[in-house]
Amino acid sequence: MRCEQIQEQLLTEYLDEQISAEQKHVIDLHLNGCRACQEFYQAVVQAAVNPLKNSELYEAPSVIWDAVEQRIIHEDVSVIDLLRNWCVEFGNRLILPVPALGITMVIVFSLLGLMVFQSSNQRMARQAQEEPVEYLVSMIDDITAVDTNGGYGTDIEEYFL
Amino acid sequence: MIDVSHTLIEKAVQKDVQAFQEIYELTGKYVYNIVLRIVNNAHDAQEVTQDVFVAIYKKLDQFNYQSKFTTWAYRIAVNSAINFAKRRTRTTGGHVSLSRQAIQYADVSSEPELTREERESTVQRLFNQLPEEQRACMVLRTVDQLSYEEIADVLGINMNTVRSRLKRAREKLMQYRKEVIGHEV
Repeated sequence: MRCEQIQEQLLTEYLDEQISAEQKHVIDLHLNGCRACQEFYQAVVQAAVNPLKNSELYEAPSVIWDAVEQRIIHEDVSVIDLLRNWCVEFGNRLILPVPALGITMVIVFSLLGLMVFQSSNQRMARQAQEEPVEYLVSMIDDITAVDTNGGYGTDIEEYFL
Repeated sequence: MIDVSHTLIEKAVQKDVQAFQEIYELTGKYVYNIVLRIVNNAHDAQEVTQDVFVAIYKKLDQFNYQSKFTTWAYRIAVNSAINFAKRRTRTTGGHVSLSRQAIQYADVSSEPELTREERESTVQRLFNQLPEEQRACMVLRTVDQLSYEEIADVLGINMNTVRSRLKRAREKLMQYRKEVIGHEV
């Protein structure tokens, strides 16, 4: 193997021990007889291995879990999430795909809304028909009301007459 | 790579906070250190790690057991950390508040002479030389000792790309060392 190929392996698989025993043996043999590659390998170790080798593994500060716990306990579940979760669960029970269930619900709510609208319209139509009749009845009652004053109109007119 | 049991995950999916806390206790330290080395700042790392675990909690029902749980969790952590680091680079021009200590290189034989602060300062400065994608590969290799295959799974890339990023990262660190040693002479 050429030095260029060996040095590429020294930077990667050989250094990280991601190499077969056989390949390692080939590279070790080359290193034993090649000063340039030996120096190259030393430079790799000094620059990219030793300084990082004993980098400290820190404990996660306790404030992290405290904050995570607060956020997940007080997480606000939006109405949309609630509705979505309910649809998914309901759909799973009916073995319906969620989009089909969603469409079904839209149709159901639309029909309900239409029924409510129509009954409200009918009530208003009835009311509209009945109101003029009631008004006319009240007018007729006024016109045909019995005059208890003997045809003389009001009490004052009766006094003077 | 540590493993999280199926039973624990299922409990946490049902919003059992205690079960999720157990998951946090198993994985939190590793996630925090991965995030710390990618964002290269302790305060930012706390914030990002919080966001990562809240995201994991919310997305638990999407975990489909096709990979290890830690692979999936690390993926969320690395993506969040890389996105944070890139956003910070766009807003601050890449400035990261690092220790004032100069970088210290030491031979293996003299390593014990470096103080904790010197070692930490060196690690920070070295990782800061690398673009985020190369940094992520180096972090997963050095912090959690993941294999190339595991790194590829976490990052959603192929093994050749892992190999290529590690190679370029190490070449960059070698060049940086030459520059540092050159200035000291």
